Amino acid sequence: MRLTVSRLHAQRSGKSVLRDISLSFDKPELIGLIGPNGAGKSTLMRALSGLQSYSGSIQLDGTDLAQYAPQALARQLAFLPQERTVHWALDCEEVVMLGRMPYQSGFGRASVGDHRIVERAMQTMDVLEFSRRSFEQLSGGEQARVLIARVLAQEPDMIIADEPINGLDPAHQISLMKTFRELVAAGRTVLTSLHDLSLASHWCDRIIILEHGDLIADGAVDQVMTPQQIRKVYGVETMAVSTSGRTLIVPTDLAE
Amino acid sequence: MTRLPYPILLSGLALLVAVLFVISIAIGQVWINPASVLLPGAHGYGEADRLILYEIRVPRAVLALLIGATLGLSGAVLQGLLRNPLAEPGLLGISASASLGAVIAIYSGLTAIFAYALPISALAGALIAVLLLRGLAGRSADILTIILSGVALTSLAGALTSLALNMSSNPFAALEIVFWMLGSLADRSWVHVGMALPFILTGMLLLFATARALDALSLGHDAAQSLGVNLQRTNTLAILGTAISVGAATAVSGAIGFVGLIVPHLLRPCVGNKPSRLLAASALGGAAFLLLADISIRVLLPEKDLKLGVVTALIGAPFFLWLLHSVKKRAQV
Amino acid sequence: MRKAKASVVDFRGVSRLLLVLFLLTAQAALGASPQRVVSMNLCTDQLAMLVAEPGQLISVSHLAVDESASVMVEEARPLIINQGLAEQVIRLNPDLVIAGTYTTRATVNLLKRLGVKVAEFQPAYSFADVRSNLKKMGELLGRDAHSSRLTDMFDQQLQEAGRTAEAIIPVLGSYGANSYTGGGSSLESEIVTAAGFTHLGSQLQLQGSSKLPLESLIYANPDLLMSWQRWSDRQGRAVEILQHPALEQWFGPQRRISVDSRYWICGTPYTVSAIQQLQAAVASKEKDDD
Repeated sequence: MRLTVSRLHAQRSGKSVLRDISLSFDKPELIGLIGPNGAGKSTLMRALSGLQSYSGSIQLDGTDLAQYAPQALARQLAFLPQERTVHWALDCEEVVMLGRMPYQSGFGRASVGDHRIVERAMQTMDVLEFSRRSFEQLSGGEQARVLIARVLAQEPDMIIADEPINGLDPAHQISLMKTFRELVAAGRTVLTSLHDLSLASHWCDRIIILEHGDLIADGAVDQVMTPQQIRKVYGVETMAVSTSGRTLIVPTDLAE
Repeated sequence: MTRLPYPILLSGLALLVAVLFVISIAIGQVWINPASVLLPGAHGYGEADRLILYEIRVPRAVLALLIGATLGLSGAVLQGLLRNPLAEPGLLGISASASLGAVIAIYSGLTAIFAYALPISALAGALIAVLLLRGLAGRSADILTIILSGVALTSLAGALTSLALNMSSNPFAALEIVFWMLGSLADRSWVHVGMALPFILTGMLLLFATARALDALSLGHDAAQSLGVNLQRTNTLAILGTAISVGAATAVSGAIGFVGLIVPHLLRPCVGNKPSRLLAASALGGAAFLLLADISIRVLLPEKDLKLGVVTALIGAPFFLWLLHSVKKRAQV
Repeated sequence: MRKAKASVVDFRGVSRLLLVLFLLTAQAALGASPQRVVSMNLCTDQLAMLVAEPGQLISVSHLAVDESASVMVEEARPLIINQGLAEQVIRLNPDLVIAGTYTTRATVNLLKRLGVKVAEFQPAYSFADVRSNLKKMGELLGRDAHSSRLTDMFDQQLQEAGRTAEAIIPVLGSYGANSYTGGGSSLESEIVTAAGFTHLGSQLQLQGSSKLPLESLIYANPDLLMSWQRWSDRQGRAVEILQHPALEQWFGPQRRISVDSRYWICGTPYTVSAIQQLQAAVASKEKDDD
């Protein structure tokens, strides 16, 4: 899979929110998308998922995104929106089964294969026990994991997740990042926006920084998340902690 | 909680509809046993019974079935589309606007030239209402905005209907206004069935085609689209389907409220809250509900020609208030 | 074989006769009688036009010039037309206002409070009511002699119409917009009975104008079904019932007759024409049968 973005511009309600973005995703890796509020992270992810109008080009395996049939695109790219509501009190298994929609036709009877994939996805996210439970009755963290299981059931080449760890306790945050790493190990590309710099620095292979709609930096954690860069973009001082062979960037104070 | 398997639920509802249909044609000024009229060589019934059964009661029951199914189905679809349990053609002003369309067609003399002008004009009224609603409420699934828009549309359409009837110097204007706002199936005929049937079936077909998209929409707008759902197409299907089927239904029965509110809500837990499964169940449930309502007005006050909309509102309005209360409470949590 | 004589009176003749009567009695008007009379109700309009001397009645209601309701459109045209609103009536500076007991109640009460003399008329439910209303109108307008002459004429014509009644008495029911049929002790039942038929509403012991579901009508099965000419052909949901297939199949064209509703609305001397027209309409159906 190869997703190429070149000279991407996007507007929301008449205001320019993304300017001249060029990026490329072509191998299994965990990419952290960071930047302060209003940097355009959500818009970029929506554009990559085919949900946002833009100018410039986004190509998936050499074909323009707009040329894809929606279902075909959904089999390659999965999007996990920030919004975590399920509007009707569906059973969790039904929620996860919605991930199989791009593979079903017509009235969409779930095949045996679909059930197996759903079960595996729920197992991966540790929510199999909730299969018959109503989504409404779960805690926030459990709900988040069910929704990620939905994305897994979609079996995409690339997962685009908008702030998936929001509202999760530390254990679930770490377990989610571990899941992402497993997905990468299994050959998928995962792009996720994050506000937590320590998690981003610790778990991601690559970091993309946006600020006011401009692409500021794109590269390996060590090269991109320098104290100068973070100070410039976020206005905070950081310190680097080394743990188990990786560097952890921890914000300490507001910059002078 | 153990839930009935879906095919059994549907069969049960279908059976209920069938039973109510038979009761509906048996009941009237006098009790006619349909079997003994329909079976050859039956005794005790005359030509009058046969005529009354075939020409008055059967078309009435058929219309109750069709219109109830339409209202139940369109309620379920609108709720799924707007992700709002309070959406319903009656409350949103779609039925009232369809009534207005029908009244205009009748009193401008269009129906005298072209019989199908009645359902077409009614569905045009319904279509305008749905489009206006989309425009007024926008993309927001905000309950209050949508309901208030519906209230405004209902009053406006009601006022314009009265205006049109008053302008027509019709000696029966007052009675007609009541009919168009409260609905009735009394003494309809096969002519009305023939007029409404093609539209109702077409509209219902379009509405059923939204089923899968509605499931995806329970995850929200963005997630649905990223799952490969064409939301543009879903919107068009739902809007046209509602306008065509509710428009045609209203053209022959007047505006009947609350069916699309009560029925999907009662059946939702039975189908595990899944919007796609709710559709067929709500269509059958709506048919049963309206048949029951139409039977009850003939049993309770046979002499009074109680309007159908009175019964549905008597049940529906308190239900609506309770639902509004519980939805608000849930929104605050 | 039943045979009904169709003796439809020439209405121009009646009008001319009435005009002569008007002139004869014009001089008899007393000084005390009201000189600016306003009528606000279709039925009192027509009674007043018949009874008043020329110039005495200055205004009638808008229904008096409505072709579908009034028998005396021509006579009403030269007069001022009112919509039954107090403001309008006051401006006419009337010395007597005539109204029906059931119409424009609020206006009547307001006029009374403003000190206008208002006379109220009960609708006529019978021929006796027609006579007493005529008498009352004569007294109010100071035209007693004239009104009693009208009453005599009315009685004479009634008697003549009654003579043509048939030996075998078919049941006749009316069916109008919104499934309404006339009940017993009504002007309708009296007209139908005087024309020599049994009235369905009386037979069913209905009181006043009643809603009769189509099913009940078919079970009641009157020999003849009468509907109102001027209203039935209008567009509207109210009159759709008159084209119901069940109605057409059960009664067919042979058992359905259509009459001119204008003569049935109000009890006036013109009511005799309703009887004559009904007899003629039934007779023509029977002729088709031959």
